[in-house]
Amino acid sequence: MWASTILLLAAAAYMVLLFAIASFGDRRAATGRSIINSSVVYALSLAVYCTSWTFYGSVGRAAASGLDFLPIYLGPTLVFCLGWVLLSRILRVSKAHRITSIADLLASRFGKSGAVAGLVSVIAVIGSVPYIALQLKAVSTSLNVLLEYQGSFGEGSQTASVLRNTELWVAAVLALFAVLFGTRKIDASERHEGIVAAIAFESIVKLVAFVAVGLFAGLVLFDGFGDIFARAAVRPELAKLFDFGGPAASIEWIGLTFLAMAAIVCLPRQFQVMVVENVDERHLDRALWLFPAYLIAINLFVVPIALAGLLSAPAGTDPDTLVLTLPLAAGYNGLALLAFLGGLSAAASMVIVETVALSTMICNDLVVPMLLRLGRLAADTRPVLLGIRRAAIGLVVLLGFAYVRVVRESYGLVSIGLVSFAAVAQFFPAIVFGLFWRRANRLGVLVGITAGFLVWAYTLLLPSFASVGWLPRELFEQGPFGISLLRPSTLFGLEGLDPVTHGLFWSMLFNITGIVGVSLFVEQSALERSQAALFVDYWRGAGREEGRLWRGTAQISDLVQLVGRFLGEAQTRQTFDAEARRRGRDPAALAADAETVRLAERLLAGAIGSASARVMVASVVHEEPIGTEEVMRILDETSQAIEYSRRLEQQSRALEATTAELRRANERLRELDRLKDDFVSTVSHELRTPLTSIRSFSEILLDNPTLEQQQRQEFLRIIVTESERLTRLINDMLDLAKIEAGKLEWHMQPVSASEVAREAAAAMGQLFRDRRVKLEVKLTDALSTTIADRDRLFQVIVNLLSNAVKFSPGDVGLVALTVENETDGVRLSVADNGPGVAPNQREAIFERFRQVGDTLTSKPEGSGLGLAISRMIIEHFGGRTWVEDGPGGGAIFRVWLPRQPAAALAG
Amino acid sequence: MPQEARRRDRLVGLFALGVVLFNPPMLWIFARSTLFGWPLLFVYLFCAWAALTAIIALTVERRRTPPPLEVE
Repeated sequence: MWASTILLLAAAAYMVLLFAIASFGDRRAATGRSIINSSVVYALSLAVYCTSWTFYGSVGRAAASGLDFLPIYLGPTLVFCLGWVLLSRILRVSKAHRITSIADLLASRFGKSGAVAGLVSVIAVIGSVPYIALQLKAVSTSLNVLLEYQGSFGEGSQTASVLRNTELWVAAVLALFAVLFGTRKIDASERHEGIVAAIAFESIVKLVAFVAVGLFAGLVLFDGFGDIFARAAVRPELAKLFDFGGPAASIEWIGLTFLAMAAIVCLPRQFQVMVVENVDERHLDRALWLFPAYLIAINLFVVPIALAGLLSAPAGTDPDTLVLTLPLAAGYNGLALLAFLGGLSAAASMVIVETVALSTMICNDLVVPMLLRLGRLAADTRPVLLGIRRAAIGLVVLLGFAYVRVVRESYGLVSIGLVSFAAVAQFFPAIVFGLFWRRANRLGVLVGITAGFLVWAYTLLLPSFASVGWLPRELFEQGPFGISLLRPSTLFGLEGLDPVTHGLFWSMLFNITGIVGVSLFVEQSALERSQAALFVDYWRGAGREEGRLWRGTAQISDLVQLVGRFLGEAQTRQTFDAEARRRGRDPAALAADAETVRLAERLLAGAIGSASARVMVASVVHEEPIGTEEVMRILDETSQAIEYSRRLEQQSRALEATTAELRRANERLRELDRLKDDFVSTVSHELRTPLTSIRSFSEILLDNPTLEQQQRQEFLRIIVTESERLTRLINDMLDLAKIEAGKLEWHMQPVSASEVAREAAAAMGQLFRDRRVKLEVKLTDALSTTIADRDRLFQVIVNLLSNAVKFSPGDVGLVALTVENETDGVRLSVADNGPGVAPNQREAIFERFRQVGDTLTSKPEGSGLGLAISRMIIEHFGGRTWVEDGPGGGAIFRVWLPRQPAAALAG
Repeated sequence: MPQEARRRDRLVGLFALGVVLFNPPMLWIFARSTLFGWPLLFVYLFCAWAALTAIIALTVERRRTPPPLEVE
């Protein structure tokens, strides 16, 4: 047992520390050196999700029903898997529109509707008060346990409180904290860095405290965690905790998972830390796994602590206080104090953030609209607004305190939390539909949320009133007017579900049906339509046309004065000047065009919410209404324009590709043209040489009839040789032209390459003997069959042989003709021991009229077309022709021909 | 940004996986049995949870690495 003074001092010291951290955070923010600009701090601040409900209540629930406290933490993990689909979308849209709360988000999406904002705010307050009450109760209960614990279980929480008004004190301190650090600035969309720093710190404290108690339970009280489980296993009532009940338990599990998924997005405090207090969108990335990791860490020891408590504590101990009573019973008072501070952290962070979030909603979405309607807004509204927010914080905390006093012991911690979750879960369908379904409309959301909320109140809230005796019990046992179908716990005769799942099912059914049904049958207004486009199509660059969706006239001085009333004259002037400079205009000449009016409205929205901002701006601006038709036209135009530009980009890319292709084709054409010119001039040259010699010798013969017989014979022989050469040249050219034009007749048939080679060698024999060049023939007979035109193949071999003999030196010249079998073809080679072919000429020699060597000094024989024709013929047979270095100098011309398929061979 | 989109889709896939892993009827498989004296349902849930979180971490943190070269 702790002396009350020491305990109070410790608690007070801890609160002072929190105040110090918060004010340090605020001061650092003021000097521009933020201490919360980190993804780790962001993830820790998200852990405000884990309240005293987690800290004390999870153990209680685990002790009562096993693992079914876990869905509350598995659900958020699942939502964080959707971080880049759902959460980052909420973040981005909210930042763009300076959203200040979840009520503001929904209001802005559904046509800046004041009604939506008000409805959501009311529900958020009603749903959150029990939850705040729960925190206050947890703190006071834990304090009492520490103060009154007498060394045995079961007495602490029953004894009357020493400090009569613990809850009131706790409430007052937390409210003071929230007022001090949560209402410094008027712009609610700005961050409260001090608060976030404190929350992050508290998240560390509660995690450390809980893990410490868990390790203590496992390692000090018992002989390791295996020991706890082993002992629990032999007690049937404990072993049963790890059983999974029938269908009812399964449905409850699924329902709780869904509830938690909705809550992590919709709880006002979660929205506050996740969206409003977010420094940098990129922090979300790391938080996507850091936050689930935090949840795992803080839940890991829940079951061991619960089992340890059940194993060692006498019956009748309040399982919700096991975190404290376990260390106390073992005499570890210091650990108990740490656990108490952990629980205090959990409760405090929740109350602080929740009240700040709720105060923003109450002020912006409930009180300001009312003042606007009454026309009771002072010229300088800043002190008024801050006053309203401070009062709202006080009011919320007071409501929580009142709720504790009234409902007291009737509900377990966890039940209260779940009922709160179910209330805010009513916003979930609206958010999801609002962000992903353009046609979801204002009326649908109003109907859906209202219906869902009413069902929630009927099935979940009223029973708690009945339990305190505000309502007659008969109403719940027999149903109103005795109609059993309307019994709140088994609505429409739906039995077999636990109360929360039952209420969740009916409220969600009415909620979603309302939203979808009404949205399908009711048209959107122009403003709704444009806001819907801004939210749903944000990814696709919508928002650029925002300015086009407004038309009207305004005075710049009116706008500045209006915004100045909320944000201060000087600051407003500065902002407008900055805007003018951004647009490259003279600040004095800034026009009150659509963009400027939007800026004014956005600035105001940050202070008083989008719905009120719209009303305020409308009061100084003469707006021309734009019809739904026109909004649709503009939006369609915009999306069409985006589509067109996308297509244009595609087409211009295609065009570039085509241009490049054309350029290449053109270059190729030019090259061919040049080749053709070369060809013509070469041909003329080649024809002229023999013609010239024929003509000159003929003239000699004609002019000199007295020429000697021998001389005459000699000249005539030259004329014949030159004529033959001319004929050969013309024949070759005709062949080439025919092959190129595809007019040559091919007699394709199975041919033995060896046989043709032998014939060719025989035909060339005389030429070789004349030149005194040795010809070696190495042929293979087996399977050298290919499909070819026999005469053409003969022509190729003769061509290669005459080529070889031409370049072989006399007397020592050696030409080898080889036919070999390869795996899939026949290889024919003609090797010589001449000068060889330089590597850079190896392709060129297959071009027309391309002859190796200097044509000026040595007169090559042949037309210069032989190799070109050979290559074309072989290609026609499906083969290849190339030239290689010979092993001992010289060149090897190779021809590869595909082997005739076996089937053709057989036939 | 196809790389971004692919990783976003991966996370959505993890969501679907999580929905299956964390809910009945998957959980029925692990009820009532034990593993080395530890309740299997407890061990399973925390292992699956940790694994899922680890995969989120891997997916999210592999941020600024260049995309792998296309190898034919």
